[in-house]
Amino acid sequence: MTRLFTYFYMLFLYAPIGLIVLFSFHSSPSLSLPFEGVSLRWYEAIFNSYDFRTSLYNSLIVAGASAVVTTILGTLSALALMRMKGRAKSTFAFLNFAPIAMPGLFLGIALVILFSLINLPRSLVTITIGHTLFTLPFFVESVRSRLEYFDLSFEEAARDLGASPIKAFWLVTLPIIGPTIAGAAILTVALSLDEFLITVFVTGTDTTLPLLILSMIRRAVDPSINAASVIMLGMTIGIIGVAGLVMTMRRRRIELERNGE
Amino acid sequence: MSANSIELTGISKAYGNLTALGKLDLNVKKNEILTLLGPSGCGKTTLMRIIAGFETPTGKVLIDGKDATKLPPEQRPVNMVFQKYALFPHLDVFDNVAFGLRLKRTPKDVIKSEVSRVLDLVQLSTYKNRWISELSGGQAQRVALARALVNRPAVLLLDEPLAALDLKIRHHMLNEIKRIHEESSTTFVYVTHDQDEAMILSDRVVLLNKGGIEQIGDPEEMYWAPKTLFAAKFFGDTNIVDGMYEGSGSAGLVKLPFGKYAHAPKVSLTNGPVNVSIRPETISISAAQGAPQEGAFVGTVNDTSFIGNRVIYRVKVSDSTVELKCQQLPTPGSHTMPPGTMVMLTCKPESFVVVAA
Repeated sequence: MTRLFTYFYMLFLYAPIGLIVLFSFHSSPSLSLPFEGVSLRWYEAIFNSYDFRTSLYNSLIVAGASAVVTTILGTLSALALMRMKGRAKSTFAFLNFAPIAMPGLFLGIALVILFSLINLPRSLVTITIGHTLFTLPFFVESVRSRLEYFDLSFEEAARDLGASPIKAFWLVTLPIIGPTIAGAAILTVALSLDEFLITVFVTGTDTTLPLLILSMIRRAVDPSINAASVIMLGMTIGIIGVAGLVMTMRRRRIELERNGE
Repeated sequence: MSANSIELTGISKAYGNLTALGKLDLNVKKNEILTLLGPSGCGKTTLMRIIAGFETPTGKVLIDGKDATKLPPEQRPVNMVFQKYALFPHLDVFDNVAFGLRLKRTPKDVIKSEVSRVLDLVQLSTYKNRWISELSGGQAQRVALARALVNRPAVLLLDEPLAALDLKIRHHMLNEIKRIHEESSTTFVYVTHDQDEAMILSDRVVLLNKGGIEQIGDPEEMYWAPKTLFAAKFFGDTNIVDGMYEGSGSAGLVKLPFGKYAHAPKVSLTNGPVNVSIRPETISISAAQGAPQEGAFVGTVNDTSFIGNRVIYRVKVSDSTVELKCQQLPTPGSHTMPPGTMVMLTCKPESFVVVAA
């Protein structure tokens, strides 16, 4: 019974995604069964589209830039949180978290007003700022819970063994919290890639991938949308896969070095 | 070179309004094992962290004769074994132990031989390529010791190092720490709340209470000659009996509900109410037969516990409200006396510890 429920749940979760993937390879423009044959024509169409390539490029730039900024700011904030206690800690943690609960609409409008106040022309820069604002709370929140377990006596031990505070950070703290930070950074990239609501407000003439897909859907139901979506899906899965691979390879490399010693 | 590894003068430390340590002086002699003992909140950990450099006190800290009061932890010639070891999880055993030497830019071959030396010392030479997560509690403890000792510190600080281990390993590790101390010839300062650990390990024990030093002495002194009631209660089991002291000239008398005992006068004793600590093993107990002998008194067994190598009786002393804990060493074939048995007790007044109430 439980197993049946699990299957049903999985079907519910993944069937729509499966359908999109299926139709992206459909040889006919019809979006209904029966399936008439496999073809890559929609992928070809989408890659030949100048709009698609530009928006993909924009999305990647923004995701990369906001991930870098978020990771630096988020790590600093998490390091501070580790050292705070009691009231200050819960207040700071709440303030960090609050933007998640705020409607994206609200953040979007607020940012537009801010940018026009400081005369910042809307561009990829403003999109990056908007995305960072959106991803930072997620970053801090996902890092914070893991770092609760970081024992500050690691740093004290390093100091005790002769490391200056900076060396203790580089030699002990960063390597220990590194995987957690990397995981959160990857989450940031994924969040930024498909952020839509804030982007609509803060973009100028630039288009990101989600914006492009929406505008395509508004024009006509074009099956190449399926291909575009599958490419996005593939990128997200790819990012997570690469992250996992990098982590296991690092471990294996250390083990190899050790055996060779 | 001074004969003391550490000299603390006028050390005090407060957190806000809370006084953790109030103006204490303490010298740690070269190559001794000194334990800082006390209940939680007595300031023992704070004192150790002051020596390590993690807390800044008012007062003066001399390490190996040099003023270290203002030195940060990384510049002090002391190393610490942390309570939860704090071994670096991203490094293996070898790299953990080599950590301190690498920071000092020690040549590679020296690092290799020094790490081997201390891993031999803690008997873990075959574990040098293990990850920290693959070690048992006792092994992690040894690595923590090795990581500190490899730096040849003037003083090794141990912060309740056995608290996380289970009882059997704890006993084994105590002996190991003793052996390692002998072989490494370093000064050890050991923090614990466990009086047994302190007794087994120490050359000298510092008993702390509420941020001050209650008493300093070797384990036997601490046990048989406690200067305060707190000290008497902290070490082992004891009976505290209310009494009266009367002294005149060179003779004194302690009046207890069950007898009068001679007790030489001390400066700290004035006539009046006193507390007397009587160790259970100094009271001899036997089944009452005939009239009590000189100095003996009678009572009734309230409760008996047979622990194997000893029997503890709780005896209600006749014609008083006093209940005394008495300890007897059983011999094969001897029978423990059941509750209700009339018994005869004798005290050794020379073992009394009399403290003004």
